[in-house]
Parts: sequence; structure tokens; C-alpha cells
Amino acid sequence: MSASDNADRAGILERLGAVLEESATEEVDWSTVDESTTLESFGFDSLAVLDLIFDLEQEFGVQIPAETMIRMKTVGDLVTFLEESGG
Amino acid sequence: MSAAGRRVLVTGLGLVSAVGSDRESAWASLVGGRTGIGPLTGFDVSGNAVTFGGQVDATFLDERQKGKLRRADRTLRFAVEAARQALTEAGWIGVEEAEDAGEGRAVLPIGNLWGCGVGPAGHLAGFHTRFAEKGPQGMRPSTVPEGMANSISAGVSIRFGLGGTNQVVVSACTSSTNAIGQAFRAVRHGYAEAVLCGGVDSFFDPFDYGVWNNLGVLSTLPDPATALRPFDAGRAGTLLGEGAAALLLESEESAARRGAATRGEVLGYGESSDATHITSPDVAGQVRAIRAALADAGVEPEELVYVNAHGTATESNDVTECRSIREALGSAAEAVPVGAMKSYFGHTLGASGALETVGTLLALEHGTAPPNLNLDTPDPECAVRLIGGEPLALGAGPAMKNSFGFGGGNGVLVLGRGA
Repeated sequence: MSASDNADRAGILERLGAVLEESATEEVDWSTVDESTTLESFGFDSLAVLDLIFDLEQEFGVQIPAETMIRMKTVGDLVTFLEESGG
Repeated sequence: MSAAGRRVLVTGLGLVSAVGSDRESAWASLVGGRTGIGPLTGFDVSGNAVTFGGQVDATFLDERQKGKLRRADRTLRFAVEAARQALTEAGWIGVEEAEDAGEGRAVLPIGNLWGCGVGPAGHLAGFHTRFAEKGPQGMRPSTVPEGMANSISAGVSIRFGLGGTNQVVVSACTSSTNAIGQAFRAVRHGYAEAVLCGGVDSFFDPFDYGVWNNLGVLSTLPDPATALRPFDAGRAGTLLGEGAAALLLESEESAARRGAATRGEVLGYGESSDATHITSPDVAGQVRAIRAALADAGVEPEELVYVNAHGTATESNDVTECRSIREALGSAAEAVPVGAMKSYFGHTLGASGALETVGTLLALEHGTAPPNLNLDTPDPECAVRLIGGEPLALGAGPAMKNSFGFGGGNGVLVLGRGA
């Protein structure tokens, strides 16, 4: 992975963090969030996940099928998806 | 003659208010004559002529409600806290058990009936702002469920596993008195053994507060402590408050089976509609509700020891209400003491009936009515026995709680002391 790839991922992570912060239903210590943080820890229920998909699509201009979202386990999984989707 | 049915006991109380968010501190404020009204600080009040109200210090909820309520409207957070107090006091849920978000909790045979003026008003105002900024394509999927008035009863039901009825009554300032009345009827006539009921409202956001400012009913007097003056000749209107109150109503049989203590009793309920005007109150309509409540309770006017008035401190309400009390109670109106609690809580709109019902039950429990704040010169048009500036000892007997709302809906409860 090149330095520019890392920079891209860091940029996506920063934008993703802002979206997650708005959508999360649990209190989260944002200073500890990194790519290994599980999405489960943000407390998304099925409704909040719909908001998260909606917010991600708005922020990154991508389409996220619900079945794709279900496969995402960590913040890093989402960053990878967004990176590959050109978000 | 009372309508046949079972005794309906209050086995738990809870409240979130400007004068305290537990029964002890709220009662200390009420009996001590300490108002909760002050300058509003929780949102931007600039541009408003009136900037006072009964604001809740809700910081304690940040710690208590860590799980799942992060995105909840202020109204749901207040309702959950009032419900938590009532359910734990009644012994339906353990104190520690009530602290978590309720996932996996057993479903309890308890209904859940709330009154509110609008619903999650802060959320709705935020949705309007978002729509203006982003248009229809910018509205999140959760906008619909989070904007529903019954998101309040739904949220309480989910949080505590309440498996009975799940409804919200919307009838302006009568909302929660109607909700308590409906819960009372359900328990009395055997449709439920236990119903959590109450009311909640918070209009302290720039949109809703601004709208109320422009209605022309808010007091423009300069000192927040003395600006809300029910029944006083120098009154100048009401002031808004926010908060929630909850009561756990339970059949006598269910309470006895569980060994629950009794905090009070609902004896009767009456309701009516003025069927005249959407904002002007009407004596005939109010009298019908008062008489229906007394008949429902099997209580004669002479037996009442206390009337907890709607008492908004608008001229329209106060004069009309006192005429209604006189007409409905007849000669008994000369003797029964009348008090109002909006000078403590502010006018909490859809929550007012429930908050003031809790205040009335606390007064009966302590045998003492709180003073009428700021009643320096009683309005001669308010010709009832108004409580003065000191607490008043009450005899043993039932009390009456009035609520009269915009829309012309009237609700009256007759309440008794706990065992």
C-alpha cells in the first residue's frame, strides 16, 4: 500500500467518522475509533442502518445495497468499500 | 353515583420538571413556594419578546440514558425518565434493571398512554430546517418514525418492555389529563391491570418557542420570578414550561397481589368539548366536564378538599375557570381551596395535566396545598377561595384537577390520597 493510498484511506475515514457520529445511537468515545472498530459498537439498529446508508450515499455519492451493508463488520470494511467505489 | 368498576390505585409516580426531577425535590419546591421559572438558556431566544420559562436542567439524563437514546428527542428522554421513576417506585422494574436500554427484557403486562401537545417538537423543528436546506432528497429514512407523536409511547414501551396499549393522546393542554382518564377507565373496567400514563412536552426550540411568542398569550412582565401570576389582578399571561410526569395506575387486586404501596387513587374522570371556539374557553363546556368527573367518582362538591386549577394566568382562562368552578360546585365553591401550579412548572402544555396531577397527589399525601405564587391582589372576577402565599393544611378528602385546552377539550380528574 502506497503513502497516497494511506492518505486516501485517512481522508475517507475522517469523512466517514462525521457520518457515523451523526448516525450512531450509542454514546461512542470517538478518540478511540479506528479501522478495527466494529460497526456494532455504534449501536445501529435496523432503522439507524437505513439512516447510515442514506447518509453515506449522500456524503460519498455511492449506492450501497442493503446486502452489501450487512457484510460490513468494521469501520475498515466500510473504508475499503468506499475506496473501491470511488467515494 | 359512581360508574361501577374496580378501584384504581396509583402505585408509582415520576416527574421531570423545572422545580425538580424526583418527587422529594419537586415537593420541597412546591411547598416551599420556589418557582422553576427563569431566563431560558438552553436554546437561542434572540428575536423573541419573552425569554422566560420553566426549563428543565436535563444534564443528569446524559449519564442516566447512555444507551440508545442518544438521538432521541427531548420529549422522549423526559418521558423515559418519568416512566423509569414510576415503574421502579411501583416495583414493576428493579432500579438497576431500569438503567439499561432494555434489550432482551421480559415484556410486562402494562399499557402505556401518554399525552402531548405535538409530539417530538424539537425533532420536527429540526426536520423543517433540514428540509429547507436540503429539500426532499435530503430527508433521512428515520424522519417518519422519529417525527411521529407516538414515537413517545413507542420509545417508552421499547425501553421498558411495556406490552399493553401503546398510544398518545393529542389534545393540547388537556392531553395528559385525557391520557390519565383513559388509562383510569381501562383499569377500572377490566381492560388492563396496569397502565403507565402521563404527559410530556418541550417547546424549547427556536421554532416552537418563537411561534408561541407570537400567539400573544405569554407574560411580558420583566421579572421571571413574578411574571406568571394565576388569578392575580396584575397578571399578564402565561409562560411556557417543559417536562414530563408519569403515573402507574393499577387495579386494587393487582397492587395487592404484588404487595405494592399506594401513592394515591384516581376516583373519577370527566371530559367534554366546548364545541364553541378553538381558543376561547367556555363555562358550559367546563361545567359539563367537572360534573361528569364528580358523578363518575361518586363525590359531592362539599367533599372536595382541594381544587388544582388549570390556572394559566391568562385573563381568558382564569376568569372562565373560576366561573365554571362556582357554577359546577355551587355553594361548596365558597369553601374549597383553589390553587394553581403553573407559576412553579410554567405552562407545560400537554404535560401540564400529568405534572399537576402528580403535584395534587403529593399535596394530598402531605395534607398540604402549596401556596399560590404571585397572588398579591386576587382578581375580583375570580370569586373562589384562592389559596394565599403560604402553604395550606388540607382536610382528608378528595381533590379535583382541571385541564382545559385549546380546541375546546376539557378533562377533569377526581383524586384520592394513598392508603
